[in-house]
Amino acid sequence: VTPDPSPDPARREAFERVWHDPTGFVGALRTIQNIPLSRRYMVAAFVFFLAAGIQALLLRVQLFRPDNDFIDAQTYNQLFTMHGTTMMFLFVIPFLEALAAFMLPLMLGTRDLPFPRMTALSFWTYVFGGLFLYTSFLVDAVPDGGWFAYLPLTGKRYSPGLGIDFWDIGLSVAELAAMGAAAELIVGVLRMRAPGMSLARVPLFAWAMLVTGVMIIFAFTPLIVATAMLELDRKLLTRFFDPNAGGKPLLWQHLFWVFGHPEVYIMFVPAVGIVSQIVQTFARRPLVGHTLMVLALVATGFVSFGLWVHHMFATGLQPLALAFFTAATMMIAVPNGVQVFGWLTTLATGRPRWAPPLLFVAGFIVIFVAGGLTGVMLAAVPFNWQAHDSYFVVGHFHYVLIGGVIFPLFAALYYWLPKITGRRLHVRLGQWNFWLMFVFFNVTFFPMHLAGLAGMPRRVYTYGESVGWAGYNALSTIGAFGFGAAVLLLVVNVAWSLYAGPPAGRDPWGGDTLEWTETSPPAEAQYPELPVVRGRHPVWQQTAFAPDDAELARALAPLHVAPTGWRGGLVVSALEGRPLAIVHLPGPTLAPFVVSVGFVGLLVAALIDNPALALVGALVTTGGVVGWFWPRASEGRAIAELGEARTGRLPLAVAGPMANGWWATCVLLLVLGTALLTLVVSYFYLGDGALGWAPARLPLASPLAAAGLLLAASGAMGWGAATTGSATVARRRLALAAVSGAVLAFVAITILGYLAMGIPPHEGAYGSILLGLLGFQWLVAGLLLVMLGLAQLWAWLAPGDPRGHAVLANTSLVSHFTLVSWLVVAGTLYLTPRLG
Amino acid sequence: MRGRLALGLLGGGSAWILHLSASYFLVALGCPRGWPALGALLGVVTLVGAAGAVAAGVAARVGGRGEPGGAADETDPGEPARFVAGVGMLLAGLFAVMIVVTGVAPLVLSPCAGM
Repeated sequence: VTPDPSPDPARREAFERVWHDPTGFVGALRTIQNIPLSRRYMVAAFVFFLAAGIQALLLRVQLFRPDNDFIDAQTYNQLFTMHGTTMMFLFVIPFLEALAAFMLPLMLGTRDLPFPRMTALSFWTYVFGGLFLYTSFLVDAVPDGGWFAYLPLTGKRYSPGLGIDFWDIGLSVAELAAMGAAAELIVGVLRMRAPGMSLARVPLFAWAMLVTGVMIIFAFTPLIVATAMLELDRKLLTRFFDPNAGGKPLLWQHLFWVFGHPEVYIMFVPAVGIVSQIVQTFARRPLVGHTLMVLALVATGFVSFGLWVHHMFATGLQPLALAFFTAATMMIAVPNGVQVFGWLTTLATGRPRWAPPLLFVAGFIVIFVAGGLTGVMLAAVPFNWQAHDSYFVVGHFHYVLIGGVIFPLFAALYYWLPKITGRRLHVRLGQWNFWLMFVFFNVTFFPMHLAGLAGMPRRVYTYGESVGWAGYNALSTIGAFGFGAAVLLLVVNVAWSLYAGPPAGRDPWGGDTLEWTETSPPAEAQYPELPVVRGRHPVWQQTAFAPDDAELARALAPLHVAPTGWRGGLVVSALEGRPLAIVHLPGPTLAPFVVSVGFVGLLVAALIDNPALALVGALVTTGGVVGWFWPRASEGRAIAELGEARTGRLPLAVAGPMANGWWATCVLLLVLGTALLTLVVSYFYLGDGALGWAPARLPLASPLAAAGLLLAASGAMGWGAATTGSATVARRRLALAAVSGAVLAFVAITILGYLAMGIPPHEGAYGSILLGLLGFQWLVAGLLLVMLGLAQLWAWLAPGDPRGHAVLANTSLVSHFTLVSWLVVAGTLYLTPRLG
Repeated sequence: MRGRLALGLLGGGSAWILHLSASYFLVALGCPRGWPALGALLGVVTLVGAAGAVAAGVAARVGGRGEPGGAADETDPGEPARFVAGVGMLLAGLFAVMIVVTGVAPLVLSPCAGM
């Protein structure tokens, strides 16, 4: 059955209507489509970038001459803290994720990301988290502990105000937003692609975002755990980091850098993807060594997690341990070297066209290689000890981060803005933009290396005439203003483009990937006819994108300018890109916005210790979550109608491993598993690695009973989840009720058992980590209870809707995890002390 | 076959991270406690780690072979499996070398020197 090549205009109109998002103020709050949301996301992130730039310029003015009094030391501390925090958490990662959210569906040949409501939640949470952090300026409580917030400086004793709390809480929320977006990117790249786009044909930018998403999941989780610990310490509820009570300030450094070093590569890996796409397009040939490039991306992802100790070379660790991490740090040069050689070889063997995107890429290669070389220098322990915390380090990481991330980001803007806005940018302005940026970047940051070697420590707010740093600093300040002017040129260029730029057309650069087949800017209804991919460079290799065999055409027919009653997309197999199922994508909803507003209430309540506000925030959040998952009968009916008409074709409303939601639940469990691992490692770190460091052997009756309850719950859940169809709905309801009862009993037993121990968390590190591990378990149990409630909601309100089974399958996964998690927590707390 | 491909893609890097972490924690725990034969223990960990990485490479190779098709045509259904297997084998080789390079350190430095 070949789909109708030109469906009637009424069908096309109905298809476009179903993808049309509401307009107006409330409509803007309900939007969940990737295109408008990622545009807003990018604009918001760019505003934060400009704010961070202004902060940097203020810092440079202060350092322009010796003994300057432009700003005082306290303001200086606040500005460098906010500059680093904003660049890392509020600009680079969100901007890259937003760019990916815009480009990936287009590039992968799909209509949207797998979880559009998550896109909206991620955006609103990010905006509120960022605004929350910047509110600190209004109440004169600006964070001042540096972007890595070392203890004990950031403990309550040495930072008594609310500044660090603003940092801690605001950051956690921005991280949650990043993690939500990451989960979406992972599932999107693996499951939502054009038919025929196997892993071997996935563009390198998508590979890069897949690796980045996985890295975010594993890297951000320890930081969220650490910031929660810090906040609890600051509220004087626990003493994880207080050496007077058995706590360890160095635990913070370990947890922070387990996040902090991968963070550098979380920013760099997408840049690798961007650069690879641009080099390919402008060299007008396929990238040399595509397989090696994928290898380098995956290897970089792994290696970045083994480098954290090189930030702690000066903390007195064992020399052999330092040697291990020196070797690991130097090894990161291998995948990076592979990438650089791949790009250079492609350019050398292609026919390069030196348009602004490629100029920025060339600048990136030069600067990043220079930054990489000073990185290898810093990997050597003796040199590291000399240069530690000096301006040499400041120069190095700006070479790596601005060279390695901002230059590629500007390249990406010049490359993809015509697609995003539909207008070309001014070429001559773009060239000026690049050369100004390249020259003034080096004028700003190269002298910092020399200042550092001359002994200038980082984070000093002024210096004397006699130390000889004045020349370097004056040059850096002049360079910084030139660099700022270059950034402004981009703003001017974008403004010109929006008002006077010539139309971009579909493919202004002759690119090879699918986004160039769509209109510029893309329509709300992307890919009415899903493209079929037959090569790694579809636009260069194919003249037609229709299915070329009857079986594939039959499978895709229900998605040909359809469905017209609801938003539908295609799920493919991760490896081959083979069509597997039709997925139902939700329509506009206020739920993500409401959940974010509830978050804000919780944030402010946590900041000012207001239980009433916390209750309101929790209620609003809960209301938003219920609205999110509420079964809509009209959607169920529409799906059922199509289901009747499409016998023998792709399945609809699938559950289990076929469903995107199941994959997202797996990502959630990875997050929870990483958090659990972080807490268990913290437990042993606080006890110096001794198994039996607990002050008392805790009785086993309570944890064993609790394990029995969770085992029963897990079994009952499996029994209930195995049922399908409305005939067995009573069994499903019964299983859900029984499991809910068992989990509630588990919570009650473990809370009573904890209270009976009589070990308060504020008296020492053991009590703190005891509460930390048990609190984590209660959190997991709470999550399971919420999911059970939602599954019950579906069982009662939409018993015949097959989508309810997916909710059940996902809840079942979480119930099994809850059991495993408790076995680990109980084993750590109750059994290991008996082994020591 | 998919399990083997996944193991091949992720196994080498995982072996490297586990080896690095195990080596670090062994030194951090063993030196203050004066564990005997710490150097030998580190050597064993290195051998196990390298063997793990090599095993991941073998899994990738077997996983890639198991898929249908053998031609180099990009439309061939066996092609993505071979691609992933190729990446997995290269990764496994890289990480096996990295494990050995890291594991050489105790041969040069006494495990607890400078403590």
